[in-house]
Amino acid sequence: MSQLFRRFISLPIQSIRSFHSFDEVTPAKYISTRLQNGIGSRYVCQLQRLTIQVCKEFRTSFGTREWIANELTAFARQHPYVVIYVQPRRHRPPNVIGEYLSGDRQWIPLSNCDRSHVNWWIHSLLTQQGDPQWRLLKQMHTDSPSIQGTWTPFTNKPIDRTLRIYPDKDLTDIEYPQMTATQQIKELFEQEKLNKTT
Amino acid sequence: MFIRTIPKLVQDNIQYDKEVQQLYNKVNDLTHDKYKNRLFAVIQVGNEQRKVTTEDIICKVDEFHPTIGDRIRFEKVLLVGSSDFTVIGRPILNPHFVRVEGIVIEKTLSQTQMDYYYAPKKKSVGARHFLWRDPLTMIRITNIEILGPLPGTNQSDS
Repeated sequence: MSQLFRRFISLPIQSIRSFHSFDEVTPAKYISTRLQNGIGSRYVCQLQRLTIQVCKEFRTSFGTREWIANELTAFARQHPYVVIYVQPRRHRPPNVIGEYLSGDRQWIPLSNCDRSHVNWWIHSLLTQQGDPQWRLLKQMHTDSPSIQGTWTPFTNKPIDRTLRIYPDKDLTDIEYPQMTATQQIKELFEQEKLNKTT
Repeated sequence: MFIRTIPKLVQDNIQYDKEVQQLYNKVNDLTHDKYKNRLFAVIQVGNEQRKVTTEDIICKVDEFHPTIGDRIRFEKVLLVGSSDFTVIGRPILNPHFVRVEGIVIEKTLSQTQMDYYYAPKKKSVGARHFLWRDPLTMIRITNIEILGPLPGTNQSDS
């Protein structure tokens, strides 16, 4: 059921098969950024070039054609730092190719995709940093792992606990500050003895 | 029967308050030199609590509406600390006291994950495999700062 729910959330599932090679092992990586992107609330978009390959006649590229007719100009106006090429190719499936600042390149097939799906894929290319697929090893990245120092059992404790030599008599005596039952019975026994004698 | 009663509001012991006030004053003096000491905070991001400092990246494995380059202020700050002191909220701190800001760096998809299900004996259930990619959002923490003195002390307004 969770898989079904996921399928509804994240869009075209059919194209995962087409661009993921199951033979190769996906590389594992930690989170990283180029040129300390984002520090001091300064952000540079990593996508530089976007090539849309489309056919004018075939049914497979109907969604991309609609997207180009309706939303391409608005997209280009909104993101002026991205260069967009539209490359008409006769009787071939439509593709989107993104090229990034780091030199990486992503290729996504858009055959039989809806207009909204095409929009989703192009925006996903826009928001990425370039690495096509990698396994996430850690969900965070820090340069300064601990500020108050690593925790030990003696942090925020009085110093004389560390200096004491165990077993310590003072600490053990606190455990039985009152009289024990055996001591009470012994005292009673002795009192009775004294009463009998007197 | 167990009857749950609301405890009465006890007037603050003035003598005790004076003792605590010295501690508050110490912490208030420490907060002034914010450029010398690095601060850390514990924030809640979508049902998850993360310990963050400035210039570090956290990943949220979920759909997230803000796009790249959007600046975010985290409202749920549970704890703020420096090398010398920690201020713990119950459960969260006053938004006029601390400010934790971040910027969305990246919105990607995770690696292709697969669930394989194999039940040949059952009717109409053969081998099934589900493929999916989780949406990820990377958020960089830009600044953590203390805006004023501790709330509830003599130096603060409230």
